[in-house]
Amino acid sequence: MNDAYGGLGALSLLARGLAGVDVEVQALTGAGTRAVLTGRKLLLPEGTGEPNLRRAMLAHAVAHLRHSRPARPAHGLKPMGIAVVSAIEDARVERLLWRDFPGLHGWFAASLPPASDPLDLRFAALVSRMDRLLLLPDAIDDNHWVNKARRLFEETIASAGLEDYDAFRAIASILANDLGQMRVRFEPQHYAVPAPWRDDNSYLWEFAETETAPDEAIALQQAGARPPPPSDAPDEGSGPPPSDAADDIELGRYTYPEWDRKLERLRPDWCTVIEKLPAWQGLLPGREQAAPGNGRIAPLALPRARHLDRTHRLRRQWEGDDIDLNAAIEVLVDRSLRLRPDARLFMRPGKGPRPSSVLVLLDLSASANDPGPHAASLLDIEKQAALLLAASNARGIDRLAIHGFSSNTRAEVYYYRLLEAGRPLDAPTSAMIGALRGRYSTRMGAALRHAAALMQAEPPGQRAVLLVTDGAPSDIDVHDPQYLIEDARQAVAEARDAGVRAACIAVDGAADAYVRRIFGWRNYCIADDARSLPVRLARMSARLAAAH
Amino acid sequence: MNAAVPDPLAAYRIEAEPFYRPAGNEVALYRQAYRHRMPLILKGPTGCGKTRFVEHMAWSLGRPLVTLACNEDMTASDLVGRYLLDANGTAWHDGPLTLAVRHGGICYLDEVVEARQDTTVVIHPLTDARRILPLDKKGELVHAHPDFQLVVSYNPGYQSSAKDMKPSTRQRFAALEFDYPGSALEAKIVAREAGVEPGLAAKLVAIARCSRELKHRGLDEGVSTRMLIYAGVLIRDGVTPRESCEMTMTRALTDDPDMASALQGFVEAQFG
Repeated sequence: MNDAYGGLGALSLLARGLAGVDVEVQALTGAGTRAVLTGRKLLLPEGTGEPNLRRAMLAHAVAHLRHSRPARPAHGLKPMGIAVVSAIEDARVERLLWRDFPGLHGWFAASLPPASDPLDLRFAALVSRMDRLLLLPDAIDDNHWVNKARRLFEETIASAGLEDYDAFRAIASILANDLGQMRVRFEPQHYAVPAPWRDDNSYLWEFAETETAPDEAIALQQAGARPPPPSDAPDEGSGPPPSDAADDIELGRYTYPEWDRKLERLRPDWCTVIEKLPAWQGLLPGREQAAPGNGRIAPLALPRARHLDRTHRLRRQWEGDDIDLNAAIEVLVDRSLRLRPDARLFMRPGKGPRPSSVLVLLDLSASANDPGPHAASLLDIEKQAALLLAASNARGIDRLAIHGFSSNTRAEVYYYRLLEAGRPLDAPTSAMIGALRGRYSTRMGAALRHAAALMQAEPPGQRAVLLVTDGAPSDIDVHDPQYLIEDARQAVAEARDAGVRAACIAVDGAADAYVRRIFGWRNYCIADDARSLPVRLARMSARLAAAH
Repeated sequence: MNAAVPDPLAAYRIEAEPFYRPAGNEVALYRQAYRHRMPLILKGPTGCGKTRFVEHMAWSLGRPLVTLACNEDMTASDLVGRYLLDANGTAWHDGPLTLAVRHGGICYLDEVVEARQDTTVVIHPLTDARRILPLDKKGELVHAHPDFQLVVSYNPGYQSSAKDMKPSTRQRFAALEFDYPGSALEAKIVAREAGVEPGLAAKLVAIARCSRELKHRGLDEGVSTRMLIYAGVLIRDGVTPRESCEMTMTRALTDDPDMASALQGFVEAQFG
């Protein structure tokens, strides 16, 4: 996947910049040789090794996203009409795109197939020759229909402008009609868009219910488009059966209140938090080794946070804020004795460590098991990110704790103390974290209250809880979506009053709706792409540890 | 105070007009704020013209401009001054802020959040109706010169910064928000500052527009106007557009290969 122009990730970024909207670029498995654009998702055929061609495919998709109206009704058009209208539309939106990005012309021109045989008068050859003429102003062709297409196209640009879809639709109808009169045959089964960088045009059309074939094809391709699980993660079948929470060893029970937004008060002793040790029992040495150590994510260099320690004054310095009176007197004495004075007569506050404790609280609900668009499940990435953070001895964070939680109604909020604050990360702990599985729901408030209570036992200094979640708080015994959000907000406020800052990283593009409500401005960060989680986690924890 | 020196701020005076193209009515608003010597925050992304704006305003108002780039190690003494030893014993030396306060300059604290919060509190008595600067080490109370004004800059989008501005500090300021200018204006600025033709400047601006779409998708900030000017200057000197953009934008902005590839793609989308 990695070539001179980067992998699919780089193509996604390129698309975002050119199109101004997020585009998910994925590999299309299967036999298709043309790209498929569905909504904001672009599937690129896997066999496309040529990096230039992949970029041209992407640029063409960007042209559609910027300038085409998707899903126009296809009824009333014959298959050949659809193909001609699509080809003219492709040329139109590409022209519009070059207008804004003149360099893109070269990307398309480089992917242009060699000129077709002038004697080949089949449909695909004629369309291919038309594409060539519309793309290359200097190209020459002796076919009347192809030259007519160019003439009509250029005249329409001059008269109606490139933005006028209907004018181009009209010339496409004329051209399709001409082809019919020329008795050119069209075989939909054997036709693929001739220009290799163009998509299959399913983006442009909506077929009525009875004509489901193109839609079905896309659905099938999409199902097949999900990337295979990475080789280092064994598939579900070979893993152990999901262990039940009942197997875990219970360590203690704590009750916490919960905020009821309708009553506007705390319901006392409403939730029970059960601290547990996960029942991992050293299973699966391969799996937990694979998770942290597979080198997919490079270790991070974090900025060092320095803290001024005013209790600690450095005397006899070359420079500083204040004159060290004792040293100054000695200088004056030395000077009157005509000795050479020691010029180090300043003092300044020293920089000493101030303990900062960060508790990373992982959401271990069942939804974290879902595989993301890039194969690894969020839970796997969460685990890797947490282990990396612990293993990197992140500078600035003196005491790092990693805990996790999931909930099954208010009576059972499971809380796992995976890595205790101040303890080094050892092999059994990494194994335990590696073997974690997601289950149940996300009752954020109770877990945050417990985490904040634990943090209050930490030495004074910076104390922060950093929650990593994949969605809004929820639980099966709560039906009001706002209820748990408001409760979590209350828990964050309580923690802040107790001197514990709570912050959140949400791996959920739609998280804006609730994280800001819960955690407040600047106390959250949204990772659109789960793969950026490790970096964001490291940055956010360093920021929390260094905050004033 | 220092009668021997006619103008202690002479070095801080701006002789030639700094080029600044207004994007809105910020010039008029600044003039109004200056009439009342109101302290100002200039907010906005890196390289969008905050510093140039304040230079331009200082020049047009005929005031000296004392600029201080704030950093974490900066202490209150670095702002207000300190005692040093000389042949006769100790002697007080005014810091840059005190100079501006005494002699009526505009003091500009660039990236003020980079300074620690206990440093920035020294500006509090200057930024309310009192307009005084107590030099407690020296036992002097400096009343601000009638022309003195305090301006600070601040980049709210810079997420990796570990710092925020203290509410008690920000409340003392009026704020002007800056952003990158619109495409046409930005192209004019790049063409003028880099000395390149308008068509080339427009292409550079289009690259910057694309890169700004990637903010928070792996880039803390997109390509700034300043970077475009750098790129334009190199192209004017005969460096190829691709190499200039790679040097001044792609490699300067990111170390991530995917991101670099995408940025390079934007360059190629303009220059082929």
